[in-house]
Amino acid sequence: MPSKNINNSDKTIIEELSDKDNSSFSELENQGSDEPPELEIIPIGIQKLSWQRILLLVLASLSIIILILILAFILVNGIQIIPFLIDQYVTEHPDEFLNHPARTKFVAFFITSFDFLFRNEWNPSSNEFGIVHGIVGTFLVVIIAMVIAIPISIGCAVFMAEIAPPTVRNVLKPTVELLASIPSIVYGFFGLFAFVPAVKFVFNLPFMVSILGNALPTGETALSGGLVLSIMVIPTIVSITDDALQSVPKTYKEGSYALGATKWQTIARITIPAAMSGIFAATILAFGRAIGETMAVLMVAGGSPNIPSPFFNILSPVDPLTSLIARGWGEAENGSPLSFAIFATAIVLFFITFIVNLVGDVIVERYSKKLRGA
Amino acid sequence: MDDIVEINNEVSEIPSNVEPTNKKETNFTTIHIDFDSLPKRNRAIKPKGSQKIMFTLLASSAAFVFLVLITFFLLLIINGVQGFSFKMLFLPPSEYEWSIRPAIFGTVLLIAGAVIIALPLGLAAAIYLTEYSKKGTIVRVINQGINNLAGVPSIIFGIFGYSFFSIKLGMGLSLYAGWFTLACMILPTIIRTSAESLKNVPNGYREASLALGATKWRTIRYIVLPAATPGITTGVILALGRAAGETAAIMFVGGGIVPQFLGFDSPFGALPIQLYLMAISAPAYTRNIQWAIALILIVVVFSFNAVAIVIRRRSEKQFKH
Repeated sequence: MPSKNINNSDKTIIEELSDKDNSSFSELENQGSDEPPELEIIPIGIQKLSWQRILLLVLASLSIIILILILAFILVNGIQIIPFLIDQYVTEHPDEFLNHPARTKFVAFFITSFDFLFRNEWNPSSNEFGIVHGIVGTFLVVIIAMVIAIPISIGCAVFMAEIAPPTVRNVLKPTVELLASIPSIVYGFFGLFAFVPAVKFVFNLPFMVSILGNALPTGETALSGGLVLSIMVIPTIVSITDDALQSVPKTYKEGSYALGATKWQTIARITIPAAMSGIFAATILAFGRAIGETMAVLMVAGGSPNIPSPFFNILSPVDPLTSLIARGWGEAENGSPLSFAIFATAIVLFFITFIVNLVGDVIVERYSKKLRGA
Repeated sequence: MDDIVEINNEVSEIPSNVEPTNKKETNFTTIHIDFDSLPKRNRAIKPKGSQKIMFTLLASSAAFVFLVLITFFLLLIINGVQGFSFKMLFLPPSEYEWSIRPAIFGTVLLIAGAVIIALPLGLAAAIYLTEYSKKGTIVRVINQGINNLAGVPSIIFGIFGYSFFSIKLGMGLSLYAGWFTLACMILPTIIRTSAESLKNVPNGYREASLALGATKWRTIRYIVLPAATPGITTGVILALGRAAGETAAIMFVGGGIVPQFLGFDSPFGALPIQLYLMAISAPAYTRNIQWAIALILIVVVFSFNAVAIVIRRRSEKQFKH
């Protein structure tokens, strides 16, 4: 009889299910068996303060304290360059100091800090520290990188998110992720033996020499650094832009198609504007990453202690802040003025990246909130 | 607006297409327009044409990225395979000058030590911040600070590590100093990724567990943590991959080319450092060996990533069931 059969099969299924349930329950019991069941009655809604929570709190605050300590240590070390520079100023202007000691020190503070940031002198041997060549170098290299990387990576992201068939997307996405995971030393190595000779070769062709007026002595230029950095930041921009494009609500696009727009019109006038803040954030975060990049720039950008002339000359060697720190630290003795100057440079670098990252994060947070409809 | 005005003008000029009807009954005139006979706006590029051009541009930029990667790997593999020899991997430097055995050993020790220091701290911080702490201004500031610390240039950790661990705490140029420096560097990343995967555990899990009478800690231990484990593992492994290729942070705390493993309180070898030092100072005939080192370094980093991807895939499948 059919009904009996069904009942039988039901029974077996139920039995199987209950067996499974029993086994999973016994597993749970085994897992929890290291602690005896608590018979103590606790009022509803009140949790006992467990030792695990205290341990977690201690460890958590320890790690937060470590992170704060790092910042404090860098700040304390970097600030020590200021009294040193003031003393230097005072010994150079003894008369002024005799007449108005307090005022001279006050003036010296501003003059020396200004000099540190904006004077083009970097002679550690004679205690002259001016890092403006580093700041100019950093921005030169990073701007070259962004000019190359932004169009390519936004194009790639739009293609990946909107146009590409799934198979192409499944190839491209891991490709971009692979590019992101390559260590910067390998990029630097690659730049040193691929981009530097290439730049030297291209700009020493007779045709290029006749345009520029002189041959290029070395391939280690801001341009080579920018080229390497551009490849390094492409994955960052692509993946964040891709996320932003994916999170544009489907209804926006459907509305546009319903009005008769072509696919490209929809992308250009609906999808990209809706994802604009995300694309902007991607650019800014990539900018921050490029500023902080050390090894590639150290190996490729040349490391000249002068501002390029004119300052936008992309074919001259530069010394961005990160490579300035790495290069200078090799020569610095601990506790010497040079080491304090390098810590001060680190503070400048830290603040630039901090502000850039903060702006990027705030934008990301805002657009994700907006698109979720909050 | 321009389009409309234009069309209206054209219409008034072409009376043949306009057939006024029902003149007697109403003041309104119904106009019958044959749409195809209307004059079209002259466009230099038709919508379909512009779509084709733009799609080609976009596809070519994607192709460019793909090509860059292919060139990169071709160069790396062609040059690296020429320089690669098993002598490099297995002979000690006393028998083969360009051996990287100590460097590989040093890298493995370095990563292991760094993760042993950073993982408990980072995981505890992430659990406390997401599960226990009350969501207020302080927590938000701390989260933002951790986010930003994850983006701090590694060279800053390098000079911090040297002057704090090597000089202030007297560790000198040693593996210890390398561990602590790298741990400081990956700590923010670990906190961030762990906190993210803890937040991704649905709240329903926690509520169900609490409703069954479990304490807060039991909920975390038996419900939240198991559900978040794949995410945490993926994040940690990716952080390790980054640490394996990190040069700037350990450049000053004792990384170098060493003849053999010298002990925990002495300078140590590391793959990226060896690559850097050889690239800037070794004679030109070792170039292919350097490409081989770069290849090995990339293989190490990619194998970390592959493990992370496998774990992520598996956990995605698990959650779908």
